[in-house]
Amino acid sequence: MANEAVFTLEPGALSSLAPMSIVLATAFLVLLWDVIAKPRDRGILLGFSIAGLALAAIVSLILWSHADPVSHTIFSGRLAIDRFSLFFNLVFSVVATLVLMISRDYLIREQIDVGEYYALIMFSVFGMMLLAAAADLLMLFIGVEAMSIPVYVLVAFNRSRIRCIEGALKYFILGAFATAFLLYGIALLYGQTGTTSLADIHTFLEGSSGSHVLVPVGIALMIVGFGFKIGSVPFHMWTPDAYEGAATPVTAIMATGVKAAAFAAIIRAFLAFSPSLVMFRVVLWVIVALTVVVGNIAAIRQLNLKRMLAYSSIAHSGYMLAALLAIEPIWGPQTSNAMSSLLYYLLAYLFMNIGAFGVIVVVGSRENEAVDVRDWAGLGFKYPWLGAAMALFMLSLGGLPPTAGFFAKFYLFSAVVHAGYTPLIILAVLMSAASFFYYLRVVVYMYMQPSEGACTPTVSPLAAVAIGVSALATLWLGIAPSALFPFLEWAQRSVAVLL
Amino acid sequence: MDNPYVALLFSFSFAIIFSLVFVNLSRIFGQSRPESEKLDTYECGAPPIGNARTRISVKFYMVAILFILFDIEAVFVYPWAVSLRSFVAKGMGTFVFVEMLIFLGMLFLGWLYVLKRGALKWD
Repeated sequence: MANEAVFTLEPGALSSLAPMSIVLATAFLVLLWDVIAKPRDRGILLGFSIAGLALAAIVSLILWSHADPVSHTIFSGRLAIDRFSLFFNLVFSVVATLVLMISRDYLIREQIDVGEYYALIMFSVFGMMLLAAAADLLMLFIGVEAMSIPVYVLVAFNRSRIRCIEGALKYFILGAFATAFLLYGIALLYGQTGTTSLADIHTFLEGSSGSHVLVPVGIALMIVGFGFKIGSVPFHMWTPDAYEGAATPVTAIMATGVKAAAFAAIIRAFLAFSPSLVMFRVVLWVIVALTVVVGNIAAIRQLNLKRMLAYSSIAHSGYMLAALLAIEPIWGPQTSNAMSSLLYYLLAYLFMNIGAFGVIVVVGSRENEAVDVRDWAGLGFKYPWLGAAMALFMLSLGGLPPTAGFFAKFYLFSAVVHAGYTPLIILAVLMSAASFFYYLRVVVYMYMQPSEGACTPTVSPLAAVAIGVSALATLWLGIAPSALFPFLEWAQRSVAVLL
Repeated sequence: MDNPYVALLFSFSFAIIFSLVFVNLSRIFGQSRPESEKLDTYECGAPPIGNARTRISVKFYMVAILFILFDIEAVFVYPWAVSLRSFVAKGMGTFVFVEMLIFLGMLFLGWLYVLKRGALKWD
């Protein structure tokens, strides 16, 4: 079936592509508007981008509510436009909107407010959407590339800063290696199974006796490639440097959007590989344990906030990876629970992380980026709202009730415990207790140190809205995870189509 | 000898053995009389001037990379042009044609960007 060049254009295929097409069209529009009309104020490009994202989000929402409860693929099984991918479309639209809102001041401050920034963000969002919809290993690869290449450029965007260049170079070179690993894994899987379609690979693995040598090798190589993208130990070396070097809003999108997209692809791929995943249990167990321990222990030493958040994002990757251990060879409620808790975790994680980066953006200035936590001394009294928001994000990242971070961890850990990985979760809980040391250090500096901080925050209305929305969402997901806004139910129904 | 990979193994072994053998044969039996002229950089017979590691204007790089980009485009168009007829026979002609138009349209937008941004301006 894969050898025959038969393509069918399913009815409704093009309209279900609408969110992606809108984002791509906006990206081109922004790119060309900038060079042809040469607007003196780039605010209009920001407006265009946000309008495009909002439209994409609305269309995704409409498609989500009309979508079949079963997964359906278009372009002969290349893309799956189902509730799962539409859910992620929505997530990426929100992430990119919030990031664009906190970008504006930063770009003007650093004198890098050029149109390409907005276009690159939109191009990478397109890649993320493609990645979340990929039902075929080749589409998955194209999605990874379409997402990563704009992000490589974005990391190097602030080229007058040497740190920026260093981080971008490391990210690019290691990213190219990781992509090669991913592609090599895909090639080996294709060599053994004769198909690149995830559904066909699943059928093949279910029927195989397990004597296919190339399948585990292929899956292992793909784990390396994915492990790099999400920054799991031992593939995390680039993370602190790239996160520290990149412009803070770019760091925010790397820590949230890119990671969420990579997890979307991992979920699809791992569910397809589930019959063969049993032999990777130990490998995954070790990766999760290492990621959680190294991420949290290394973060304790960091006084640089961006590096601290980089290590914290490594640790969070570890928690989320643990959910993959709960995938059963034959999917059942346990798999479904773990996957929906993973989606919920991603949702909670993105709000608190973008919020934290947003506060870092507004606290910094051209002369002093204010990434050293000692510069934050006394900030909580001088700027009560900013201080309260940052404290909320830090507590949520640590996982204290009643914040989003607590419920996310609670659902995810209990799903993994039900799968029988209690010792691993005990380790994860101990490590997340240790993480309070470095999260609370920020709060301690803000509220319990004499006010000698050198930072001078300037909060524009746009950034204030973004931080406010993140803070509200963090609280909302924590206080009423299901009652007011059924995020968890959404996640469950979005995952249900995969199983 | 049923395994089809045996042929591959032979191919690899021969490649390795022959390359090692020939390189070493010429090293052992070949005459080597180095002199300053011979060891110098070969640059089409002309004596080399200065160091090759100087700064080169980024304009060359821009032209080169844009050339490669649009060269690749041509590579994609060729197989499409060859197989278009068979798609038309299967009744997929319009779809495949429009697909290529979309692809070329995106590249056109990229070219427009390059032009307007002034990446091809030499002065």
